[in-house]
Amino acid sequence: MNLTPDAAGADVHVALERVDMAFGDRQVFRGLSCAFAAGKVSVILGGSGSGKSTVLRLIGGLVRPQAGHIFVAGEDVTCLSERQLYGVRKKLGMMFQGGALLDSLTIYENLAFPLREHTSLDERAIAAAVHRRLDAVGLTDVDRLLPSQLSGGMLRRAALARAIILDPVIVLCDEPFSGLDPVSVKRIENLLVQINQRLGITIVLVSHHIASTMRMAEHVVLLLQSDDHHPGTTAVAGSPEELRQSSDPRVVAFLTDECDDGDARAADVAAGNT
Amino acid sequence: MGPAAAVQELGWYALRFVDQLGKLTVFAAQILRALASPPVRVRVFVQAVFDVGVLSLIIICVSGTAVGMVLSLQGYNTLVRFGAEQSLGAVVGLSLIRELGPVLTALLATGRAGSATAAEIGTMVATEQLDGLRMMAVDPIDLVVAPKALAMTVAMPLLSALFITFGLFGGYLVGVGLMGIDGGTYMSSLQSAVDFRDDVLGSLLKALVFGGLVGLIATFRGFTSAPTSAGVSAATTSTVVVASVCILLFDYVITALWGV
Ligand SMILES: Nc1ncnc2c1ncn2[C@@H]1O[C@H](COP(=O)(O)OP(=O)(O)OP(=O)(O)O)[C@@H](O)[C@H]1O
Ligand SMILES: [Mg+2]
Repeated sequence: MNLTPDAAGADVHVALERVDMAFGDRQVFRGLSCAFAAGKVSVILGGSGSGKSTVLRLIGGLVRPQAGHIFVAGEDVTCLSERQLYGVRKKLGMMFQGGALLDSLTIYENLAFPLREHTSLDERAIAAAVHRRLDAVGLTDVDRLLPSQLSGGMLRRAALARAIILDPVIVLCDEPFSGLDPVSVKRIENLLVQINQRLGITIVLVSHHIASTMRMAEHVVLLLQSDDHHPGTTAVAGSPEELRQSSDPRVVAFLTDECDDGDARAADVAAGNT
Repeated sequence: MGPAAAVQELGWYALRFVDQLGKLTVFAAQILRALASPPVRVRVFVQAVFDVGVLSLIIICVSGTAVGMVLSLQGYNTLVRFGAEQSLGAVVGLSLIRELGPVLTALLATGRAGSATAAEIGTMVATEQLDGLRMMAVDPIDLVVAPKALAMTVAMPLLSALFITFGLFGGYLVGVGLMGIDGGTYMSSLQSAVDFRDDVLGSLLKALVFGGLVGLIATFRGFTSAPTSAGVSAATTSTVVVASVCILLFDYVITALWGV
C-alpha cells in the first residue's frame, strides 16, 4: 500500500471548513468545521439525525454543501466535477449505513466488483482477495448468497469487506457496529485498528458505540447542533481523554448519558434507525 | 380559486414541465456519452435485453394474436358489406404493420418492462446502491442506466415484429379458419399490399423511436425518484402514464412527418 505523496505529507487528510449544508429548507449544518488526521482512527459522534451520515456523504462528494470547502487528500471536492470526483473516490472506501450492496449480485460478485472494475487481476487472485476480506470480517459460506439473504449484521460486515477491498487510503464507515453481537464488534474493531496500523489507512467512522469508540479512537469529533448560546453547528474535537475531561455541559451531557449505559443506548439507536 | 391563482398554478406547471424537459435532455446526453465512451458493457447490455424481452414475451404474443383476431373479425364484417372481403389480408396486414404493431407493443412494453425498469432503478436509489457505485468510482449511468435504456430501444422493434407476426397469424386464423376466406387470397392480398421499405422498415423505425422514448423515460423516472417507497411507486406510475402519452403523441407526429 502506497500513500499518495500529498496524503503522506499532509497531517490533515480530510477537512471540512465552514460548511453550510441544507436539504431544501432543512438546515443540517451551519458553519461546520472539523478535520480528520491522516493515518488515525477518528470517530464522529452525535445524536441521531445530527448529520453524521451527511458528513460522510459530503466527504465522498455525494452531496454538495451550499457553502464552505471540503478537502479530501489535498483536493477540494466541492470544486470538482463529477468526473474529477471519481479520481478522488478511488482513494476512498465507503461503508454505507444500510450496506448498499448491489442486490442483483451475490456477495462474492459484490466484493469482486470493484476489483473487476479497477484492477486487471485474474479470477484466481480475485477469489483470493475476496475470501481474505470475508475471513477478516468473519463471514464464511456466504459466497453464493444474495444480499437479501443476509442478516443486517452480516450485511454490514460484507459492506465493510467491500469498502476495504481495494486498500483505499481513507475508509469511511457509517455505523459499522450497530446490530452486531459483542464478539463481532470486537472483531470489526480489531480489523479496523489493524488495517489502520498495518497499512496506515485513515479511518473515519460514525458510531453510537461509546465503549468501542473510547477504546479505539485516537480522535473524536462530537457534532452539536446550534442552540441559543451557540450559533452554528459546533464540532467538539479531541482525543477521547480530552473529551471526557471537557467542561462543556453539552459534551458532558452527551458522554455521561451514553457512558451510563452506552451499549443499551447504542442498541436502541440502532434498532430505531436501521 | 381565483383567476390569479389559476394562472399562477398554470405558470408553475409550465415551469416544472420545462425544468423536467431540460433535465431529461441532459440525462439523454449523459446516456449517449456513456454509450459512446469505454468501458463497453456487453454482458450487462445482453442481460438487459434478455430482461426486457423475457418480461414482455408472453404478453406480446398473446396480445398480438388477440388483436389480429379481432382485427380480422371487424375487418371482415366491414369489408363484406362492400363485397371486398378478399382484401382482408391487406387490411389486417397494413393496420398491424403501420400502426397497431408498434403502438400497442410500445404500450404493453411500457406497462411491463418500462415500469419494472423504473422500479428497479428507483429501488437502487432508495437503498443507496447507486451512491455505493459512485463511491466505488463507477458511474451508475454507465453501468445501470445506459444499458437498460439501450436494451429497451433495441428490443422494441424485435417485440413489435413479434407482435405483428402473431397478429397476422391471428388474423389468418379468424379470416381463413372461421370466416372461410381462401388462404391463398388472404396471403396474396397481404403480400401485394405491404411494401417492404415504406411499411415494414417504417414500422421498425417507429418501434425504435418508441423504444428509445420508453427507455429514456423509464430510466429517468427511476433515476430521479425520491429515495422512499412512495418515491419508487410514484416513479413507476408516472413512467407508465408519461410514456404512454408520449407514445401516442409521437405516433401522430411520426405518421404526419414520415407517412408511416
Ligand atoms: N436526502 C435528504 N433529504 C432531506 N433531508 C435529509 C436527507 N438526508 C438527510 N437529511 C436530514 O439531515 C439530517 C441529518 O441526517 P443524517 O442521516 O446525516 O443523520 P445521522 O446523524 O446519520 O443520523 P443517524 O444516527 O440516525 O444515522 C436529518 O435531520 C435528516 O432529516
Ligand atoms: Mg446515519
